Amino acid sequence: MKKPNELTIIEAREKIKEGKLTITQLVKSCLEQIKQTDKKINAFITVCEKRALEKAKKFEQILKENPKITEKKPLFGIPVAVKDNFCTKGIKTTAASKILENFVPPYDATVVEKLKKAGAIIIGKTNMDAWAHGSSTETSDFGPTKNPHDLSRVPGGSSGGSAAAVAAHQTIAAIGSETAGSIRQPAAWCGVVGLKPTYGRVSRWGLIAMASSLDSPGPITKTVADAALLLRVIAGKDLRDATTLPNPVPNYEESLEQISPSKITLGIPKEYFLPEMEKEVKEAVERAIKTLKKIGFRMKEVSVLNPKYSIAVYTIIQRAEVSSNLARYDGIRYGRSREFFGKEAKRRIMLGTYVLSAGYYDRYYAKAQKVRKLICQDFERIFSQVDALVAPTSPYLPLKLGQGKDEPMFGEKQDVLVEASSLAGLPGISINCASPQKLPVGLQIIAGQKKEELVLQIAYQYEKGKD
Amino acid sequence: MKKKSLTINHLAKLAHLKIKEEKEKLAKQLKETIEYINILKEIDTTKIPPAFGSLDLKNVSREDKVQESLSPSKVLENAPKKRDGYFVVPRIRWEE
Repeated sequence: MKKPNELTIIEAREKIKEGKLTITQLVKSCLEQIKQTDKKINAFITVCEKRALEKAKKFEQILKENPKITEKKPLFGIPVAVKDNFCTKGIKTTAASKILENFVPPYDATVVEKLKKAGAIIIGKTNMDAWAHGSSTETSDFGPTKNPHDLSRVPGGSSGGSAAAVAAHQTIAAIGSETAGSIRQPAAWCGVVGLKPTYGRVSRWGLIAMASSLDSPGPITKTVADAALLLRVIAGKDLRDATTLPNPVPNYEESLEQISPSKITLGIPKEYFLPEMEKEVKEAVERAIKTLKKIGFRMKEVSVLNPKYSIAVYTIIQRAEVSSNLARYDGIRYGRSREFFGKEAKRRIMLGTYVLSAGYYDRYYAKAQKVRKLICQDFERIFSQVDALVAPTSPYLPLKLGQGKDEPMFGEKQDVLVEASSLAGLPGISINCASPQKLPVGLQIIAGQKKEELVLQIAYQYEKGKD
Repeated sequence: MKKKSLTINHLAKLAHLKIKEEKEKLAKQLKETIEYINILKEIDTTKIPPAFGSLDLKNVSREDKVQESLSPSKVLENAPKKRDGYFVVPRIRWEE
């Protein structure tokens, strides 16, 4: 039988509803797992032990008085870990940087507010690449997170702490944020489900900004159904973030089964099967494609814009937005002075300043914005031919710690297969497609803007149909 | 070599960063990155408008209504130096 911390959101919710599990037992079970494993994994920067236990006790009392509360609050009593770049009222929020080591926000990010409103219990704040700059969680000023499947390897990043915490059953689910790859890639390398919604589907208010035209908060979970549930809780228009979409939020859980695979055509972008792709990744993804065919999906090979251009566009736009966003850290209103920026942040600020400076703006920044338009147009063309794309999330297996040291574009090259869809603001999910007992490999499914439902439905079919 | 260091110094000044011992290494890394991003020259973008984002939302506004916001004491809570309800900033005026 599964231990409480090993349950999914949906399983834990049922058990709580049926009275087979108390909220305190569930919270304690996660805290116990953190105590036993986090010295090695280092997925958390802050564990909210006292707060979480107090909340659990309080919630149990509420449940006793009002057993129907679980119907109104879809995450009632469920422990959720939150990446440490989301502001949490009264809980230290560092973005894994020494600059914010002692920063305690006086307000909650919209995502956190929504989680709390749905009844979630914040179990802790997870480790990440400092300022989300990286794809390995090694640039954290508080030490790297290790991959729970192999402690000599990185969990991916930047939401590496969130993905590792879910994989190691230290929490029931987690929240991450993605600029280009930061949810999907660590989910791939930790063998969990990571969903990057359409840009604007989830509010960025209270999320420590990296690249504002790209940042998208999203769920990291054990199953597709949990991702659907969590997305429904955190999505929606927010007056405090003018880029949020006005469209109503569908009930992603209820529509999970509403798909006829034989009516759906999945595109396989041949440019995403790079020559440098590792053998294990290729095998796992090819097997997943066979499974999708067996389920009944129609498959079609397609050709897309070479992803090497996305690396360049992403590098320019992201560095430019980073240099502007990090300008606010002056040590006057909150946080420490700019001398506390790590090497990676400095490197990014410098390049961003360069591409935005007089005489270089047109050559780099304006040019990148135009190629970004071409990338958007390329996806429009593709999605007139197929309903969604399936491809590897990363060309590589989880790297060994230290492998990307001092490589100035390490993260960008790691994220080569997720950058284009991020630049176009598209939703994408990563789901494990490796055989059991093997190192995880992510299969990603990408669809047009606002098509989270379709992405979840395809992933759900795959999850059910894989051996 | 001298010119490159000057550029680094200038960028660091613009970005309010102090770059000391790692200057040469940083210059080399920036050069590598710039060489890579130059591949965009291969793409013809003459008639392409820039994409400033991925969404087509325009002129998003909300009702002009007073809403609750953080109190001054909450806003100042994390400031290392404050006085009489203000942030204390370093002296900006100086004599030439």
